[in-house]
Amino acid sequence: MSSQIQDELYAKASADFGLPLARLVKAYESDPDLQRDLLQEIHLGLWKSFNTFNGHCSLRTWVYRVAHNTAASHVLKRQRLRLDRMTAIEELADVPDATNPAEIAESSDVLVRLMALVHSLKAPDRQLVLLYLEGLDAEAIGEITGASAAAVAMKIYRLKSHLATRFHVRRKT
Amino acid sequence: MSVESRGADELATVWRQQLISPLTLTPAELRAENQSLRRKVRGWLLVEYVGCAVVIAAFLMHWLFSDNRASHVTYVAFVVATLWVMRGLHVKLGDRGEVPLPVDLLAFQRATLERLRHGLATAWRWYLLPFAVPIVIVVIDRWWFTPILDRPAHLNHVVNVGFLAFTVVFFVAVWLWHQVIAARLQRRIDYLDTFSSNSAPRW
Repeated sequence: MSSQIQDELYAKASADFGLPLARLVKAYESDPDLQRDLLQEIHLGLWKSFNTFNGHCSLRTWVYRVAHNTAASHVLKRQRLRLDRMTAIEELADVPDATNPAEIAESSDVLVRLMALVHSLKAPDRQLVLLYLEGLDAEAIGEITGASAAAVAMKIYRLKSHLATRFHVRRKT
Repeated sequence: MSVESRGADELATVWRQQLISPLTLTPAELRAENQSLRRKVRGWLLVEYVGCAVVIAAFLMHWLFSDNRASHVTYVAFVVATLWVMRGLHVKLGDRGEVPLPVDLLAFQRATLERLRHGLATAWRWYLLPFAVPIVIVVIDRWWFTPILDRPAHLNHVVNVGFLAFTVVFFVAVWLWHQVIAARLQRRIDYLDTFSSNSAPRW
């Protein structure tokens, strides 16, 4: 593939998915300096990957796959010894809210709690949640993740139920 | 629309309305960054090679200035072991700077975790075993061929046995640590299986 087409594909991906990629990085890495590095790594990885883009899947699927795989590798390198501490969607009900209640009371920031919840998830659950939050449907999430559509639908159902419970209760208090 | 759906969809809206600034790199910046990454990878490799060269040079110096045949065998065995470990590090850890493939996320994670688990579970073969041979040769050499002459024989034996015991304990501890991490990685791989299936045990 010519470098011009590679550049054009990157420019389109960057324009269409620049914001989702920036949000994705915040969900994987909490350190602002490392966020910047990871975002740059993802953009570079995307650009390099377009050298082999064959059109067998949509640009969106390609972008999300490269981005999540790059971010997951980043997390694995940094957290190799703490792999067991992550949570599955099904286990969220057993895990206390990781954010500081005082901080929540002051800021009333739903986003802070949502981010803390996302950070606590195991990699495949986190990826699914992020794709759901970006507005993708179960079929698209299944194509990107490689999980069956039924498994994704079931996970999303449980996730919605948990999110509604946790955030509804918090709003009342 | 159910209460759950409405609540989750509101959260999705909140998520997408975060105040963030996207990054866009120009082709020139991307190429410059790519060059910089390549230079970094070359730098890491160079450090590995220099470290290897220093260790080998140290053993070769001992080899040159030693007139004992058993010691020569020991030093050559250490040089071979160092080269073998360097090869292992280069092969097993040589994916730095590579682009993650655009395969589906579960397949990518499985491949990554399996590669790491296999690397750890088999590390003893290329990381510990090569040094076990020269260490055993050292003990044999010190026991029978070149004992420290200004020490009583029984003290020499105690030192040799102590050295061997310490080495064995160290090697076993490293091996056990690798197995523990490999087992953790296996649990992650097992989780990927339950994740992608619709019949996860907890459901």
